Amino acid sequence: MGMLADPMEKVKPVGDARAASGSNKVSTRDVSVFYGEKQALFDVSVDIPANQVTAFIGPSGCGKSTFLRCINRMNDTIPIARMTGAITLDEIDIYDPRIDVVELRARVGMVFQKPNPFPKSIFENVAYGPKIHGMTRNKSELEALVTSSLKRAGLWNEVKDRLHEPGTGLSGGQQQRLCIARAIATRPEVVLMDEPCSALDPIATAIVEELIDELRSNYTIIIVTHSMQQAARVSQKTAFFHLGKLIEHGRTEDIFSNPREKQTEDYITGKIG
Amino acid sequence: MFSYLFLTIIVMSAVAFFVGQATGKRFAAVGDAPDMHSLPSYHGAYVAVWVGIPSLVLVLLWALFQSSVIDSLLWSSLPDHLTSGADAANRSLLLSEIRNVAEGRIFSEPTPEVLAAAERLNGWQAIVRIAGFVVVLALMVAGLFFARARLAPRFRARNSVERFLDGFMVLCALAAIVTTIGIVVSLVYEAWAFFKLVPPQDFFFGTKWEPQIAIRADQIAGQGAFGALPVFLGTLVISVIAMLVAIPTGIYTAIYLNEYASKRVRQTVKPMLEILAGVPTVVYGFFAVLTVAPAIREAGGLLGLATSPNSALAAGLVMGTMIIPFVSSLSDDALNAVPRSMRDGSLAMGATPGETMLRVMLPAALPGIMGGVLLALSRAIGETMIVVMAAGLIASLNVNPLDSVTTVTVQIVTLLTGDTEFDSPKTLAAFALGLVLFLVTLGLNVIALGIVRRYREQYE
Repeated sequence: MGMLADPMEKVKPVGDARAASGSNKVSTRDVSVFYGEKQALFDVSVDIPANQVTAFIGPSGCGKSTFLRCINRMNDTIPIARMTGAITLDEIDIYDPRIDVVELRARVGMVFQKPNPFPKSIFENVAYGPKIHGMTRNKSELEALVTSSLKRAGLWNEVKDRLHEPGTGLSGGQQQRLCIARAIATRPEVVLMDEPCSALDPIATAIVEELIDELRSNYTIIIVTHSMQQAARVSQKTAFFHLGKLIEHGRTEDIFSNPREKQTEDYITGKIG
Repeated sequence: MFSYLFLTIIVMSAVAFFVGQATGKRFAAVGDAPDMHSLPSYHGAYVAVWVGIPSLVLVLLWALFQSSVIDSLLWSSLPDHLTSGADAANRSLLLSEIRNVAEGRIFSEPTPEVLAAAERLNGWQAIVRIAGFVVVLALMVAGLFFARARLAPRFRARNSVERFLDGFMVLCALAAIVTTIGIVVSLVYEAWAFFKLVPPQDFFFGTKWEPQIAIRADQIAGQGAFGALPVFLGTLVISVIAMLVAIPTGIYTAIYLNEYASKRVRQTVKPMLEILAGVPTVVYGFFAVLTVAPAIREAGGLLGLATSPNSALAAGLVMGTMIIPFVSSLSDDALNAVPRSMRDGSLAMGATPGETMLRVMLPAALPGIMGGVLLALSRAIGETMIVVMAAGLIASLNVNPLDSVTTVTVQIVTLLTGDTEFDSPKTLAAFALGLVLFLVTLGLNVIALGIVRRYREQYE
């Protein structure tokens, strides 16, 4: 996909050699975010490997959602937000002025905290992305894409007989899976999930977590979560944020069994946060 | 007399308030403060209500009935040769003569009987004045003692004051409702009288509108025709033109303000639009007559089109401009009410702001926008001043916007100005037109509110 107006070769990879190492899908260097005068994020540098689930954990207000929203430039929609530092996707700087934000967001999908299906039919919700990006040539291709997306989101069997009913009529857990189907219908490479289960009951949460695990083989997934159990269950890599700083990141089992930092240990054992 | 009474009531209520408050403070000082059910100021308000409200009601009743009671007393005191065989008109003539004499306005030499009656009237009025004052004062003092006696530390003055306020608010709400009902009843009543003179099918389907009929035998005027179809058509033409101006402009303005404008632009443009809504319609009328209509005439002349001095287009354009703020403001509210998560969801899918607006925001806000458009439409249909000034008076059955047309509101104005008579179909036709206008705008408002309500339910 040509995110750039110019041929891709013209943009030089940024960051050091480590950031450019092959399996890292997303790399960030010294990312700081300011909301007006207030700094919300301090010099976050992290590498996110491809085809794995990376969890961002930390107490409320620690900047993990802010950081997530930098990766598909959703913070651009907040007028007072300002970012410094560099973020690369496949070694291309996504904050390069020549980058087309619209195309970036097609490659980096997002699922929000609260299920937000559009007030349209289930079919139209999933077909939304493919339609605006012109991803299918005809109706039958579109139908096939919608079907496969719904199947991959594990929603197909529940909605196949009512594709033309409004998406807002589904239950909370079904709505969230609809949003996941909608996000993966544009065939993104990275899927960002901002506390996708916080509005769901435990059963719906379990279904969504299972789905995240299945999606891992095709997508790079970054999930923000309050729940340490959820991070432990679904992720391979974990990054712990506290007060806008990245305290520690590494393999999930290392973070949970053998944290290097005191603050991480305190949080995991329930002393803070 | 009544102004003094009102002043007394206000002063006494204030006094009562302080008496009650002082009592409340004394309770608070004696016992433990938490034992008080209500704050001292509620005690004061409670006493003030008991002093002020009954006396106020009494004064209003007094004012309502005083003159008719005195009149009938006066009438029965007059000698028989004056009162026997007099009808209502004579009675009021005689009574007003006596009243004039009593107040010193003597136009012709009064008869001794009238003079005597006038003296009696003056005497009675003096008594009434003093009696009224005494009675009201007594009532206030009674109220003061009654309410003061009920005060106690555990007395629920707070709840009583609350109940009084409830009642007051119900009264205020009723005032608007009763007025509306009164208007509807009078419209229906007069329209009924009209339809007894002119058959409804002639009114609704007739194509000739010549209501200026003679109301005196010696006047020269038309035969009279009350086919309202051209008038309805004129209203329709002007409303359509106005909506063609207002809907696109208003909605695009709302979209721009909501999605594209910077905060500073929004903060400047929105109040300016609201000023546009506050311009008196007669000023818009000026603008239509003196600026827009001549411009259209000239433009029509250049293009070789026959344009009448007053055109539907001029009135429609200006009216459309007038209702832009309605559409834009309500559309902006509707767009603002679409949850931010919808917009974010669409942007995160890689949609441009324009695509987001077109495919997600507008469909979601459409019911609210429709509500705004219908409210603007009912405003356009009911608008009078602009069309009176700019649209013309000739009721012709055509839809050419360059021609002069007339509307329902203009016809109501012309029917009810000048010499009128309440049993002539000319006058009554105004009520029939008003009734139709009322029903149409009521229907539009009901539909608009229904749509807005349905739309509200969607996100709750």
